[in-house]
Amino acid sequence: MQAARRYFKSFASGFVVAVPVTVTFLDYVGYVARVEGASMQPFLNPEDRSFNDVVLLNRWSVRNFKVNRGDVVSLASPRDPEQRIIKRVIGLEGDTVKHTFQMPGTRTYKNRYVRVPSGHCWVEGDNFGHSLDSNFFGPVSVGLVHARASHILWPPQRWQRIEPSLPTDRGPLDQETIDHLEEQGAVTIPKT
Amino acid sequence: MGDGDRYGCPIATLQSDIRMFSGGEQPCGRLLPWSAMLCNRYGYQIATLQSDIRMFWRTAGSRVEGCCRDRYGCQIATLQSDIRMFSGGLRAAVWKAAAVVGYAVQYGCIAHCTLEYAADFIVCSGPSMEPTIHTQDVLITEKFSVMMKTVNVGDVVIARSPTNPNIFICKRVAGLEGDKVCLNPGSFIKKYRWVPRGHVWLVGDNMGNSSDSRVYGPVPYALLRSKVVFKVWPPGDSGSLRGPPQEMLQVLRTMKDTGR
Repeated sequence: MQAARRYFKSFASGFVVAVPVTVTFLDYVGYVARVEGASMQPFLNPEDRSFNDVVLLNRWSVRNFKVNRGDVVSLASPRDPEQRIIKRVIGLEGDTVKHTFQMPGTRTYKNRYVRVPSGHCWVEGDNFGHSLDSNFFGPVSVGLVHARASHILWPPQRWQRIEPSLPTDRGPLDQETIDHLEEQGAVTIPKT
Repeated sequence: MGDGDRYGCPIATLQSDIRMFSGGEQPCGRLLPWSAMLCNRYGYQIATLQSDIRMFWRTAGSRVEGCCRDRYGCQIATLQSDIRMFSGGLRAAVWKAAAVVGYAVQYGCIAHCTLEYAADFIVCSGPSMEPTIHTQDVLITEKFSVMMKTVNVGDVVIARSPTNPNIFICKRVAGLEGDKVCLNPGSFIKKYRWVPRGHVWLVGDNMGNSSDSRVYGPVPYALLRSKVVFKVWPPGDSGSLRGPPQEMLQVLRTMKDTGR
């Protein structure tokens, strides 16, 4: 009996220490998550694999919400606050991006070019046509970004550090093109 | 042997310790605070323990396992580390510092978890919620409503600003997803808008001087952080928050229906 009481006491005191420390660690430093879905193929969850990638999500690097173009980030979905989606950042505030129409009934802007408002970013999945991203719901507020995917941890053959890189055909437009488009009135500036 | 690793000293020591302590225990006299704490735990003066442990570190003997634990109520390693901590010297200072850092980390984490998942203090600035909330007012906010999705129309919430993620805004919820809100209640020709899925419509009480959803559109629900429940400062105006002002009742039809 004595031993049992002592055991439970030490368990409880350990629990009171471990839970807040672990939760704080997960909030400030980062955690590990499995990627579901095909929206980031071929970069994450490539088709030739039977199991999903596991990535290391770094919370520390987004504590000030400084994201870079080309980063792979995990963010809360604007359509469903409980769902986390993982996408690549294509444009930051102030950039002008080309809106690629993918699915019927998407949010249709008057023009194909969108200026990303302040405090927002444009995210896209690498898998064109199979991704619910800014092409569907428009620029997302940077406050929704939860973590940056820094490494692929599993499977071991795919262990790598994730470097920020923009796909060759996606990215913000250069100033010359923007000026030209603005002259034509072809850039949508969302109300913000 | 295995037991030596567990207790941090040769198991032979344990038996000798017990033999030594079984006779002639000294009562706890007037001791220094640290030593008194240790004495209360083990029933011996710290000096006795120190000298005994030192004396018997080299003795040989056979296993006695549980005896030491029953006598002191803990393992011999705990005893030794306590002695290290409570006696003087540089090593003790390092141990004490480590203990302090350990406690600081532990309580810091508990504080973080409380402020992040339970309740929080907020100091407001800005005129957008007058007369309900003024600058330098201190509010208590709770996170459960936001986490459990029980936020209602008419609640005052704190959210991350959609236009600048590093600042927070304090507004009243005028519409939830699926509601129809009026963009210009005062005008003759009213414009309406549906609040999309996963979003809320925020409006400041001071409707003439507030940059809110009428400016930056519906706010994603995931940006909401906490719900304001109480105002604690200034004391003259503290207590639960007032209800929404008259003009805001026209922003959302259902607000009128529920009589808020």
